[in-house]
Amino acid sequence: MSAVLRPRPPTADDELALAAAGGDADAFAALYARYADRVYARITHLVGPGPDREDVLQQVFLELHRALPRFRGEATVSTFLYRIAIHVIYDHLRKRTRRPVDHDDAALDALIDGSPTPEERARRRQELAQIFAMLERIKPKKRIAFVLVAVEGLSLDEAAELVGTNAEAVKQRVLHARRELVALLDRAEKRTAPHDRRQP
Amino acid sequence: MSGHRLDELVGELARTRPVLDDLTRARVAGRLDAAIQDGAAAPVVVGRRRWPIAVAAVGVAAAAAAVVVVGAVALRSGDEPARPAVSALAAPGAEPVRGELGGAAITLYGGWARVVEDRRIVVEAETVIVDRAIAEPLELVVHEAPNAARRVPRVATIRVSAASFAVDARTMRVTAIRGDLLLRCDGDAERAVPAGESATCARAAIAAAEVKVETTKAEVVVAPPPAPPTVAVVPPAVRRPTPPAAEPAREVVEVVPVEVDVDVAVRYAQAEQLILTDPAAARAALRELVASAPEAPEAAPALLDLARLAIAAKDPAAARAALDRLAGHGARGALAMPAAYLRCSVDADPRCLADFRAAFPGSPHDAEALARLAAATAAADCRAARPLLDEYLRRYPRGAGRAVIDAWAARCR
Repeated sequence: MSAVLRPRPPTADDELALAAAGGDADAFAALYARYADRVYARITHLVGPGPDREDVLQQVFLELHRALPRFRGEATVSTFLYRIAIHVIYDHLRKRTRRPVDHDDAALDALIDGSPTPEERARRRQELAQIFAMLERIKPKKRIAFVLVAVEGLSLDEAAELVGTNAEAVKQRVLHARRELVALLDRAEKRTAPHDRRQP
Repeated sequence: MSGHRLDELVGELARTRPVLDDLTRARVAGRLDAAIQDGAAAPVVVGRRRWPIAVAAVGVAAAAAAVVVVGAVALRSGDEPARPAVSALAAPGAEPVRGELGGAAITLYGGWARVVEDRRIVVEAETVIVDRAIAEPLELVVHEAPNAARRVPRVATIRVSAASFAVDARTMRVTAIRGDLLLRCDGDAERAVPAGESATCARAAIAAAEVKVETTKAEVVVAPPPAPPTVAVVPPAVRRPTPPAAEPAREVVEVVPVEVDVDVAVRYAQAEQLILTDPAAARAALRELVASAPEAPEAAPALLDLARLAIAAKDPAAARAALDRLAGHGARGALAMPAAYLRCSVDADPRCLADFRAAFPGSPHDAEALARLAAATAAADCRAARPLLDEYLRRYPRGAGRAVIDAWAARCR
């Protein structure tokens, strides 16, 4: 393998990526061990807590394995991996049907930390179900931008680097997503509002 | 109003901490291995499983969740334990016990394990996950955890030879996670179970409640960590295995549980970011991480980063110290090669480079190592350098060191 010009000091991850690209299974396993949890967390936020997360996680690392020979060290390994993850997640969301995805209570419960009372747990579970259901209704690009920025707290530049566009485009996607989500909430509230005018 | 409500919902999602459970992690790792070895020309179809992974995981049991205590097992009421969601391996408050036995990493959910003889482990648990390469066959005597619906728990003796596998003791179903499983259950012929697939020990013997332990060698008892206050009290119905009479002298080995520390991972990620912007601060953060969590898996890459940063700061003593420490770290595994190459940068000894090339032939650093070795040798002895210079020109005709090698080759002709 030829030497690579690196504009930044190499890290242990670079070494692992380099070795993994050369077929070192231990190095790839080490990358998986280091990043699987964080990638899984991101998948959960973007895709929801359904059983398809596992397949998405597998696909992300499979794509990473294929892409490693192209890794040149300009970005960090984590950025390289997350870009792949976003790409895989986007493809997955596009192919998934637009029918509302029903997440079971156990899957939602597993996301709730702390030791809430049963009533609090039920409330939080219902809120999570609601936000996931709403996110399901907006287009994948806007959904991804919104979750990365509004939920995970990435800056516009950080999110842009992952989704492969510029910060302004990410900002527009986030704003549009927010508008759509607010509209969904408005419609939901009107459906459940008391019908005062119908009273005699 | 709706905007405020949206912020509340978003805040709720932002507070979540999705966790990748061990079984899912191991299962995906196994499927990845298999896909990569297959060449995986076609991508895995997301949304459909390629293999029927059937280990249904342990109880999200009743509220009486149990942390493992030797001899104590949580009971669940009901005729048939409910199959929980895969994402919830243990009931809230229950922690798996992880330890290392006979060179293999073992994770137990709701149970205990005892090593009897060198490669024979008695296990009573709801689920057992065994990881790490197992070169020799391992015999697991798996006892189903006591279940109120079954007065006599089932027992199966399972001989396995595989890299990583899981056993669901409730159904005696064995799943190969990584590596092919060679499985022989009591009374059955040996069969191969490919990675990602499962097989059931259909003829699990119905055994008496007493555990017959054949000890001919020293008996090793797994000592799990002390139970926290939330551990369920052992009901009187639970039977404890009767130790054999006239025991030989016991060697009690303490199992060191492996704990996953999310905080260390976050700190390492932060230190990595500092490497890009403030190397001095990064060194301080990495030193602190290694000092506070010396056995954490992140400590190994942190030591490698420290060595590299020390070299950049022209501090060879610190680099050597970090590399020496890394050499003794249990998780150095995949970092052995880069660490060895880094040492050659510190020692500046051509013999180091020659040893590195011999120890790691075809490594990603081979071209650079050969160039450095050839140049250093040529500076001292042209005749000795000629084979190295020729090798470089032959192996790496378009290598980054070509210009330097050409210059030495011209001088040494």
